[in-house]
Amino acid sequence: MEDLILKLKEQIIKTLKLSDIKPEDINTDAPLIGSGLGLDSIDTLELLVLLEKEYGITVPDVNTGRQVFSSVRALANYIQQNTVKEK
Amino acid sequence: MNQNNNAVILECGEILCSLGNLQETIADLFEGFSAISQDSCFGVPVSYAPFKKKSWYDLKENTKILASSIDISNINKEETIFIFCAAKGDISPIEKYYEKKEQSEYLPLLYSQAEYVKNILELENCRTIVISNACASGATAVEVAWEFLSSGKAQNIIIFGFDAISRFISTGFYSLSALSQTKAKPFDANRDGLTLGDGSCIALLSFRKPYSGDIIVAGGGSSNDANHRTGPSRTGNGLFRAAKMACENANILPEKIGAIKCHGTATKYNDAMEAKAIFSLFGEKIPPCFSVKGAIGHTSGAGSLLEILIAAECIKRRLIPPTVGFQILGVEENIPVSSSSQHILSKTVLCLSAGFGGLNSAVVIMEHS
Amino acid sequence: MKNKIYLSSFSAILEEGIYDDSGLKNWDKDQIGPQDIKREQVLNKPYLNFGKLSLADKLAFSAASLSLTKSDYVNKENMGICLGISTGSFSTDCRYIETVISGFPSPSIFSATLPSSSITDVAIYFGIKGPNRVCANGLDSGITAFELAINLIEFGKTDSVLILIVNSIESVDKNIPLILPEIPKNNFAFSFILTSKKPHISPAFAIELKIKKTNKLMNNDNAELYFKEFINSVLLKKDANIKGVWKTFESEIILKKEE
Repeated sequence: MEDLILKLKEQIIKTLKLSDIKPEDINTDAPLIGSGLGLDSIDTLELLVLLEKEYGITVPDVNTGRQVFSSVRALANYIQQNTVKEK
Repeated sequence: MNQNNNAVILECGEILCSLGNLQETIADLFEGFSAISQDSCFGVPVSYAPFKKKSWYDLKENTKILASSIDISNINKEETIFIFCAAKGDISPIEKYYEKKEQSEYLPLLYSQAEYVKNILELENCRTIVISNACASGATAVEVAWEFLSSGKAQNIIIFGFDAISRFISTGFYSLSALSQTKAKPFDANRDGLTLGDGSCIALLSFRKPYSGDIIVAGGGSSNDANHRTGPSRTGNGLFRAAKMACENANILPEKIGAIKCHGTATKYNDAMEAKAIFSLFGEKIPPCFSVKGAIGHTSGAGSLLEILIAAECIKRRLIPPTVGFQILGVEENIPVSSSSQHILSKTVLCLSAGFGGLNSAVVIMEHS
Repeated sequence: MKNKIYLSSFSAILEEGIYDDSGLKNWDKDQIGPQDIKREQVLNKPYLNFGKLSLADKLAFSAASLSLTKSDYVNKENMGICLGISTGSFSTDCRYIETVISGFPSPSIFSATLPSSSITDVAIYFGIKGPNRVCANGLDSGITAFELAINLIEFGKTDSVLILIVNSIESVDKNIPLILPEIPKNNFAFSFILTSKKPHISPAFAIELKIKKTNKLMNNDNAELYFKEFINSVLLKKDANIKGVWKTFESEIILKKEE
């Protein structure tokens, strides 16, 4: 789980091209959108693209989306719950 | 009007869109028709409002038709400025270049399209200005024209707008979750997004003593929401300030406005924001409001000029059309959105537009008595 | 009676380095030119969004930041922004098309394909809410933006305007055939803040702009050199008449010192 959390932080920084920030600067339990990391709705849409591309997960609706992006930990939990057991 | 009693006159104009040219569009708007079709939009599973004729996607063909509709034989070209307005204009050269490495007659860049159109209009030696203020481009071009004409820096201004849909545009709006899954329903409780539409237009403006029946561009105003890369502010304060500035610039009190040509894109946020802006300016006494985007779609940068030309026709008829797509009011403020043709009591219309990045532009037009 | 218009502050980001009212700072050894600009050179606090910006947007933001932090003008709520950008970015367009082809269209790259996107981050970050004008008419976009800014102040639509003049070119842009006679081959950005209130700097410069139609097609002057001449006069604290020739008109920016 901790590996996934670190990987997500790196992916968020890389996908959104955030500058002046390292993975260790992102608080795992802080909000991602608005306050906390301060992402906007376009960033959210980019993260939805990331979920699809890297994890094959499609978020079904806006409300789930809000929950999923409420923190890095929430995102990691969602991915673990929705990843099909492989191979 | 200034102390010489001259005014900025909208001499003539023409549009091309999904309902046809200006007269065809007006006739259909008053019948409550919509041109939004159920086809997929360049591969994206949504409906849209394509140009009525396929040949209109060709910039040369489109320009020739618009050029033939206005008479510029008597204008002094030495005192004329040409303004080209578009959000993205004609994307086809980019798609052609990128996919097939083929060149087009003009480059995938607005200034090149402007030069191309200018030459077809035989305005080669005229100064060219390209205004690209996202979806508020056309209205901003009118504001700029008003400023140049009122200060005597030009005698005539020809504004040309062109924004055509392509895979580039449809996928882009789709990725922003901005598009309706059904059809645009401006201000409606069940609205779910905008519908794209093709649009092009031309307008000739001059500065002279107005005669009875002339349509005057009385003034304009603009502002920035400073809120979000694409979404409008939640308070409507930006659009309110633009509209207030337009009324002040036009020397018109809000209570003298006969109707509001809304931006009305039918996204949840735009219409909510616009309603707040309108309420902030008019309070309880809001004149009749209409949006054409449920009929001809969101025609982007060129669209905000195209819609001003439609509003001018409404003034001449003393009627505004029904807002196609609207059934039940779905905004907090009690905005009198037209559900059938309505008479307007005063010959003055406030035209609102708002573009990506919070760019708001408002223009006041009126008929001279 | 027209109000006087003053220069409140300025900045430039050019091949040789960054200019502001204290003069020129050359690039660091690891920087080749404007395309390598770093956040810390233009803003003294962290800014997460800086890395997201396309080159054009980054240059506009950087130039704006440099002059906004130096200007003593406080009412940004009503300040206008006039952007003169040679053209929208072809390379951003291509970057977007690539995301479409990959099956995952990118919303943030799409919103950066609009020529007006260079205003957006500036307006949001600094809270600048007045009128906007975006001119994308090739080489004379900058002087056009300058003129539109003056029009805004003369008509009382605002009492200050931030003028941003940007040319951004990336490797993909350089490969477009036929394009380059119109577009300069190097990156640059200028910003000027004009106000109708005399700023508290000495000397203050009053600005006047004269435009003369020529109605014949001429070769454009180099916009970068034109505005550089402007900046040099201000740095040298000298009155100046900066004359330029554009495709169908001539411009003269008149700078007059007031102590």
